Amino acid sequence: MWSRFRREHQWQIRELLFTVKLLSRNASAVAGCLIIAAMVFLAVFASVLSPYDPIRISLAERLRPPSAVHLFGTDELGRDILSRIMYGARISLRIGMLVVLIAGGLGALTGAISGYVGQRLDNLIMRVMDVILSFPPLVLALALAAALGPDLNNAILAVAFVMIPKFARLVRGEALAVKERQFISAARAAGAKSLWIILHHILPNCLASVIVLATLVLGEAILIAASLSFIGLGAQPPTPEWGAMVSVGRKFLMDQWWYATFPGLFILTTVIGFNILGDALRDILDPRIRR
Amino acid sequence: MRLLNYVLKRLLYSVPVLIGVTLLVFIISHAIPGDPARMMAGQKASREAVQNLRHSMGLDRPLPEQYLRYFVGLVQGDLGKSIRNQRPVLDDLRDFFPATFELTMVSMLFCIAVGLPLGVISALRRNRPIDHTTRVFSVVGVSMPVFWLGLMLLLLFYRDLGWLPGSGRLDVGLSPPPHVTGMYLVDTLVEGSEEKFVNCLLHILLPAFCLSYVYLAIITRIVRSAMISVMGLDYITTARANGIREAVVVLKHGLKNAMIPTVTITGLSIGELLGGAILTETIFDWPGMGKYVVDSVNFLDFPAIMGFTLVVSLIYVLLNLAVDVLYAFLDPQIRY
Repeated sequence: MWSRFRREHQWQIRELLFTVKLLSRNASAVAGCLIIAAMVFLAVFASVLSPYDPIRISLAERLRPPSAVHLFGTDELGRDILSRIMYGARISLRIGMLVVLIAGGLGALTGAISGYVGQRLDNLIMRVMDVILSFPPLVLALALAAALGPDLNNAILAVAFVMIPKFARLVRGEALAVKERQFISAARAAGAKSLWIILHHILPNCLASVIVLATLVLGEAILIAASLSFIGLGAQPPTPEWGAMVSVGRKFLMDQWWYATFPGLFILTTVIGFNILGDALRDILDPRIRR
Repeated sequence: MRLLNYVLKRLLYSVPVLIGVTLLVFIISHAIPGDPARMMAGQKASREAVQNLRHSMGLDRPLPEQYLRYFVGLVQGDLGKSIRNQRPVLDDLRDFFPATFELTMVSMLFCIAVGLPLGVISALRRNRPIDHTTRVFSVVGVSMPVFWLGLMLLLLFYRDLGWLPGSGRLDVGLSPPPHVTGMYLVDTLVEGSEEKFVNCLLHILLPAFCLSYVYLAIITRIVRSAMISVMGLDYITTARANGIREAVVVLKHGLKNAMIPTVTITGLSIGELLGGAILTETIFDWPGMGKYVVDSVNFLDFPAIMGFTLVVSLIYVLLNLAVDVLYAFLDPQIRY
């Protein structure tokens, strides 16, 4: 079975190996991968790695500065900030991935339909996307999250909605180019239905650019969701979400600097990871600028 | 004449987008929440009050009719009433707008004054240490949680160094200047008070830098890549071969042609700055529209949130329009 898979997909496998090889030679790609791998590691093994229970309250130890016992100090309820940050990695990565899955899935599908079907439907879909893009992302996400009610899942939906046009526009552009190629005419001549062609020929051919965009959107999604949590529209206490932690830590900023500092540092580092990996991937996967 | 045609066409094209924007805000405010009347009346309102509100606002009518009413209201400048203070939202926004505008403009100035030279330098010294530093600086910029940056700036410049004030637009002991434009930097000058002007300037530095950093990073990147592609063109080589001084080649032949993408991104950034102002104003207690909307979120003051959303996106669309028109002036080759 494996040998058959290898034979049928030998070109894809070669392409993939080539990409990995180029990636491993690119310093910023390696750095990005390492950062993301570290965050994933923290998220997966949070329950093993974290020295304390992230929601266990211990008033005797409230607002302790960083020390050997509590590396990043404790918060106003005596909870260990390092442990909370480790569990927070789960939440932030989940936010990023869910946003990309929802926005990427819906965006790529509407974009492919728009580009492949064309004409009036294309015009309609693209005008709707124009309208969504007429809002600064944070502003629209804020309004949506407020309407849906303050909750982490609602914030995820709101951020995903804002991100849909990015994928739709990208895939539409690619679909316009792909649909002129001969194998599409061949499939149509063989009697394939439009939806089948979109799913089996158009979308797989857009995959490379969608992956690049998805990496960049992941970082942006984490950033916007953290901003919503900071305002009070995303994760609610006692959830150890990084943005929400900075929000509470702000009240203690002048005397307990560590409270807001460390969670924010992790947001920054994670987003940097996705951004430099995304930039490097774009350089590698886009043959026009491949050097 | 062709230019005028283009401008008119572009103007016409933005009409459906503007209508679409109002429709989307309407859907968000009227169709998504389970009970908009309850939302607008506030969580503490009695059942009868909600019922009355629903009727008086026409929320028991079919949605298309509601939208029509909403739209007619908008055209007349009716954004609804704030739950918190029962004032028309438009009046509130008008009061808070100058502070946000002032902050945005100073941030924009930062972006251009720092981003432009930084981008040019790193394009000219490509792959040298200064270029690498700039790239790190801009990757960090686009990845920066604005609210966290604000807090860190406060820790450093307010708490530890004590160089700059931490919140507000003016020291508590000073009386605000008489209202002329609502922008303190201008109003204090009009008043003729040098002390207050300096005080305002000190107050605006931290929030303006905090707000500008993300877009500074973006502008630097765009200028860098635009300059790199322009400087590789044949006419630059020709200019150099003709013995024109390098500074003239870079500034007149290079930078001028690299300005087109720069103008685009600058125009778009102003719109985005309005979004970023939400976080910055909250951190620095800056009494503008951004802080207003966050306070509204905490009160679940729905009409205020939606009014803000609508006004900001209208400004955003109009800025886009302005950028496109400016674009046509700058580059005679471009016509759609």
